Amino acid sequence: MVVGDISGMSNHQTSSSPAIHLKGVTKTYARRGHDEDLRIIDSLDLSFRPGELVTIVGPSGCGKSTILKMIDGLTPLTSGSITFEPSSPKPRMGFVFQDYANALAPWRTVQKNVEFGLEIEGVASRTERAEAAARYIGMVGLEGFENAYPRELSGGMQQRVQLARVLAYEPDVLLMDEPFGSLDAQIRRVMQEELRNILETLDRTVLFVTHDIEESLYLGDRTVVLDHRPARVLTDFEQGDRTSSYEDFVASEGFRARYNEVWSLLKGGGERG
Amino acid sequence: MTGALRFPGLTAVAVILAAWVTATATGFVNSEFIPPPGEVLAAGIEDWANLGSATIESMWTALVGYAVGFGAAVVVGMAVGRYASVDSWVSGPLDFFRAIPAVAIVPMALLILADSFLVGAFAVAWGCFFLAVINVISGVKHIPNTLQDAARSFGAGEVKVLRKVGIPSLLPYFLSSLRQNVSVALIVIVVADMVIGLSGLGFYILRTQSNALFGRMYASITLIAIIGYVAFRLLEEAQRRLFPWWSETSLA
Repeated sequence: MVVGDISGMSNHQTSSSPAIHLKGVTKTYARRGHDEDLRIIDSLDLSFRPGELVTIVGPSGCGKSTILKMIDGLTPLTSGSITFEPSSPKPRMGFVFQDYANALAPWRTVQKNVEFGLEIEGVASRTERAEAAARYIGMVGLEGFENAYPRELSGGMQQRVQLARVLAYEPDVLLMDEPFGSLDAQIRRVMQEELRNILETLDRTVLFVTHDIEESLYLGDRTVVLDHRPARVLTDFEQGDRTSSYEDFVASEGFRARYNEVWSLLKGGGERG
Repeated sequence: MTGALRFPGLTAVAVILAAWVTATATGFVNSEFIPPPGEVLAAGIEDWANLGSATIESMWTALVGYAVGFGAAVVVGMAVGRYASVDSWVSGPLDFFRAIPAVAIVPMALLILADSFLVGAFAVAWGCFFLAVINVISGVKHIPNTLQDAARSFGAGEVKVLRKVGIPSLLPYFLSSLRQNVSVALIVIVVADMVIGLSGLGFYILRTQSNALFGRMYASITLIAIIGYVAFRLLEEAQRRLFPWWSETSLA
């Protein structure tokens, strides 16, 4: 695990994460050839506390990605509201997409990709951008690849670039949409452990969407289980003390009990749907 | 030998020249119709004033048409690629008119425009436009959606999304169009000169051929080849240096 020097990170990280409240959030899509709209999410109520690391798990297509996009303002709500507390200043969002190949700019080097958010924000000073980028490139373990182009990197490394890009932006809320969903199992395991270590040092609100129950239990301090279309909360629980290693965690009694509980809920939902 | 291996392109040119010399020297071809390279070069130098002015005229006309065709393709292609409503209106006519070869436009353009520069430039623009517009449309459709979302997530408005994501991702498509259109522009301008029959390189080829000045004819043809080659290589080199990350195969 490479956790670089994090002492230089900004001071606002401790308290600026907002609480997020979803009230009656509904999302429908018009369907070709159907009178009735497709109801992806139906009056969903959910709240996230500041600094909470929440995993949201549910079957593919249950609208969990849409929830993140609505929180980030990338997708409009059909009805309901999403509010932040405090509501101003507008919280800074950092979105990590599953589709890393299309999330990075192929014409930018690793260094320039990591600076992308700062550049858009309008951080004019080149050195300031470069310093922030270097810090987070180190944190995700990509030193030496600063001048590589994304297509020269493996999937796992590209996803690290995306993570560094979002961290360099220093968001108040980190939205992660199945970031490891397209990686092969071994890389995924390594990335999960590294991510957990990084997130522990950050103390930001993190919403992490996945369809992998094991991943959701390993990463989340709290786990929200969503039903298939329309998305509604099947269960929502906090986990107690955490063992540090992945192997110990998945071997524990508590993990297996939780896993079976979540699995039977999801299976039941799947059969009904 | 190692030198030949290192520059296979140059070696191939040398082989072709040697074959040309041998064929004319041995009488394998009639050197009256195909003079040896030395004579072609001498004929070109001898008539350099006429050849030069014909070249400048044709290249200037072609360049204007090439630029106008490309500019129009960027505007139309971006609108078609970006807006479905424009696409639905424009793509039908686009496919229809694309089927008309640029050289078939020349006689009609001559009736309407009645000026050899305008007709030549119009025909070249026509030819270049249709090739470029397809590239530009394809470029717009390949602007990575997820990256646009990422930019928006970092607070970019639509103008910034276009500046930071749209334009940079389109530039290599632009340069590809420009490169491919070098040969289109040359083909169309030479044929337009021939059809108009007043001046320019195409007319120079016809006139020297009918006056049995074959050395000059080959000199002008070789000159066109050299111009095309240089322009093509310059654009290829520009693409390689400006967009080192770009590979045409990555499009699939």
